[in-house]
Amino acid sequence: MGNQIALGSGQAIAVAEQPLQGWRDARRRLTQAIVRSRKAMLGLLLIAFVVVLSLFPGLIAPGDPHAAIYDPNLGSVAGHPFGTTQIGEDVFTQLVYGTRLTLIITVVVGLLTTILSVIVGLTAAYLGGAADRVLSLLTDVFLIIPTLPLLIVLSAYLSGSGTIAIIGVLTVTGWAFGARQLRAQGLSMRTRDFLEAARARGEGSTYIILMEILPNMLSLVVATFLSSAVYTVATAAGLQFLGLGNSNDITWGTMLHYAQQNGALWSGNALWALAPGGAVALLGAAFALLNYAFDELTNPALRPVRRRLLASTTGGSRLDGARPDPAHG
Amino acid sequence: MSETPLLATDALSRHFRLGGLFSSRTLHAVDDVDLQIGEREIVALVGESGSGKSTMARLLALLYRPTTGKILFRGKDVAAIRSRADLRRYRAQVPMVFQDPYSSINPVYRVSHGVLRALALHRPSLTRAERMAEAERVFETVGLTPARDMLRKFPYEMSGGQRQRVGFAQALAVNPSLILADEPVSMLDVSIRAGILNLMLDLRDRIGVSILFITHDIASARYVADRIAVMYAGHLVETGPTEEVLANPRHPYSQLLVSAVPDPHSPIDVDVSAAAGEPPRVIDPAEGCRFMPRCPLAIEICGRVTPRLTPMGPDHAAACHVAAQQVAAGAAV
Amino acid sequence: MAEPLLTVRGLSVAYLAESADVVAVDAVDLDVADGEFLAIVGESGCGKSTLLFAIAGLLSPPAQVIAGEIRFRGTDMARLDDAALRHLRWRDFSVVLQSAMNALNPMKSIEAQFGDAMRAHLSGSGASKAAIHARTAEVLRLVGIDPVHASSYPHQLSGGMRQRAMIAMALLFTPQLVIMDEPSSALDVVAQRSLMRQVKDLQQSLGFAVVFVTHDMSLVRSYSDRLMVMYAGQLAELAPTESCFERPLHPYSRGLLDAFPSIRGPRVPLFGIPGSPPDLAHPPAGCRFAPRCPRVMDRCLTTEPDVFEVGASQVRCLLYDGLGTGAGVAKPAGVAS
Repeated sequence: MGNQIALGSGQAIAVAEQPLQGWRDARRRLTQAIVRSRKAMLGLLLIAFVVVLSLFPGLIAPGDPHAAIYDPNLGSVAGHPFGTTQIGEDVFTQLVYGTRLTLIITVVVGLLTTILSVIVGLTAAYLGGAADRVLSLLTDVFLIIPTLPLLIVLSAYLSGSGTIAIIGVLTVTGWAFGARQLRAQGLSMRTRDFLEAARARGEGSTYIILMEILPNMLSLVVATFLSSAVYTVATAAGLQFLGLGNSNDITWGTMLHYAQQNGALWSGNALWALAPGGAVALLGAAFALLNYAFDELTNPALRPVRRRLLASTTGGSRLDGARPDPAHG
Repeated sequence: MSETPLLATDALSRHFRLGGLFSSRTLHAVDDVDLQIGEREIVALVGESGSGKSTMARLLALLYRPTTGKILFRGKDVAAIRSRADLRRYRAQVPMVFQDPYSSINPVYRVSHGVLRALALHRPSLTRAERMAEAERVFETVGLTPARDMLRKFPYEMSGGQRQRVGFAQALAVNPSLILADEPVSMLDVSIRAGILNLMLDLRDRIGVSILFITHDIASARYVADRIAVMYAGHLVETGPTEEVLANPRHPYSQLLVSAVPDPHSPIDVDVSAAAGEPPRVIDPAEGCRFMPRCPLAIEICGRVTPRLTPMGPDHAAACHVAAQQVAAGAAV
Repeated sequence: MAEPLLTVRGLSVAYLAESADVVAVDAVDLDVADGEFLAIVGESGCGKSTLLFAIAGLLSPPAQVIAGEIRFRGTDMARLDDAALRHLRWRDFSVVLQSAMNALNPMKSIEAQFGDAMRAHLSGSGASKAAIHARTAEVLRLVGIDPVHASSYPHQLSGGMRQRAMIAMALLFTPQLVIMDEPSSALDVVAQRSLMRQVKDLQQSLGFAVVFVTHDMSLVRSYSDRLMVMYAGQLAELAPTESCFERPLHPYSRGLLDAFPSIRGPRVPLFGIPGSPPDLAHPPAGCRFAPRCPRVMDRCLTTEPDVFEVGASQVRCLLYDGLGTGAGVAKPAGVAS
């Protein structure tokens, strides 16, 4: 608001960068911003690392994760940096191979919830009236339902169907929050004349939602995806930890499950639990970092304050301040 | 007018319901308006905010449906259109240009987007290359040259005046008969307005398109318009040839407006202290003239009967009992 | 010669940005005498609002005064700390902003807000309930609002009345200077006229000076004593109002004047001023108006013009430097007389 006052009567001086304009410009500025931001680089590197692991597990961990051929319950020793399981599998190998399924679940749920959120949120915002009321009611119902009990109940019904069940359950419980946010931003766009201009031009509602509104909301859509990824990483692991989901799969969550079942934390084999737990935390953090960095890119007010000393006749006052809001030129 | 006007409204009204589901209060944004626009003419619809002029634009663009009344385009009632195809055909004949050049163009696409979409929707027989050629043609018509380079720009690379020209280009692309221009220069700097005003005159003369120029600025209305229509509180209170209405305003509100407009070229300072008050928000109105609370000439009948547009002279009409009486008595103003 | 109420010398204000600083106000000199009505006119981006905020001490980051001084009755305002500035504020000068209509607190009645202001600046009996009530009624009457509205909430008043209420609030302490930033742009033409009339009447009866910022030159014609036209952050012309309208010296002022369609008199073609203002992050060499100027000369593109005195006016234009076309005293204006 302070910047608003400083800029005065409505027509802001085109001081700051322009808002995201066009695909090429967005790509260029995105890469610039990522390279400049430590958080973004860190998050991106972590995720890249995880992706490589999931694609080529054999590169880092030769061996078979299911092979129960080693001495059981070893702590960290040479040849087994993270020890072995109750039945003699190598924890490190399991960790590496488990990356793939974990990542798949995360990405798929992320995409599905984002798509659902976009459809429900934007349609509610654009159509308004009765459609909006119905869709908002639907969203609110799914928001209010206590997630964990629902997850457990659904998973219990679907136990044995494993991964698909987990994906389904997480999608059903995870789309509502994003839908709310997208609807809110969609509503704020209704005052933009270009939507009315599109209507006056003769465009249909579906076209307007997908081609006129959505491209303007990409930042929120990406943020929704990233938030969903963070939520999914942790919750999927949690569900699998509880034993819901396919116990024959190797994921970080199932590793935690077995580690817990066999009392790994107390039997000197703590790494069996800590390794997958740490991995979950790390991946979640990676997505969260990217999310923060993305927020900073699209909302300059959140950027770290850069201090400038200025000599002036007023006695050298130090300038602290957030960067100005994007102004329309 | 002997021949059928290009566009005519018949008792056009648009009401909005206020409050929640069970409220019965209605806002009468536009009430009982009879407006005519002919071929190759620019008609200015003048009024302050809240007068209903913007609602009129949206009614004529069929962005709102009328509550009652008709919109006759070349004699056919378009408010009754139900089929998508007919609606599309109308939209190609009567496109709209919006007020805010900074929010009326989608910022993520190049400025060619709107023109190309309009062409794709309304002239589907054109090939891709033909569409591009058409886009270049309309850009040149509105003065955005070199057209090929301009088409590739993004909105943020253009000034307000240029963006407004893009709006006109989009309207021209569909070969319209009538362009609805909703306050096209109000958000532009004064030094840029002349360019757009001259563009409108040029379009009328060269292309032969009619324009409904909606504005609160009488001075620019005078500059471009052949005829002027004054709105107050949802009613049309005076219509006529521009010079005639400005020289001899018959409705007290028109008189007030004309005297209040500052003119940098003539230092006449007129006393407007008598005009206390503001245009009302017309909610559930009673019969009677809506200007009466502010009118220095009000008589008894003004509070009882809503005045209708009465001829004051050739092609000049005003909705005022006092003025009507003067005409009837043959008295000079 | 009496000391001016407000003196601005070489004031420059910049918006600091990572890429390039934008100097929105560039070395502006200005004087406002007691009881004078000065209008500052210009289009978007010319820096007039920034200048106003700098004078009122309302700049916030990233905007900052980078050079020059602002003296109010001799006191350098820039050197004052917040507390001292607050003391000056509202008692000696007050500000009415463009968004004034929305600057009133919707949760409080008019009288309550006036009371807040009075309590903030007065103490003891000056800020008693009775005093607040009396003073509120007084200033409301001054601006033509029935004092019965003192207990109304802002939303119960019309737009025009809210604007007047803001002006009343600005007059609570009979300041010597009232600064106004486009206070009437949201009002209709009739209300605008009415407001201007009111401000002028008040000014004449109470004797305060007014600095009035607007983009609409025609609005201030019969009301201001002097007119300052700004372009691209600089002073283009500063002249007595009538001079500026009858014989504009700067080609920009002339162009601006010619861009207004006339409602009386014959209908003449309008030309406007094609082109746009320069990018202030990278101002051009030479005169900033040169690319759009109908009377541009060769040296305008390379030499940045000083401000020259021509009679009672000041113009920043090489037409008046005595070297080429254009008459005038070829003396750069130093301290204004």
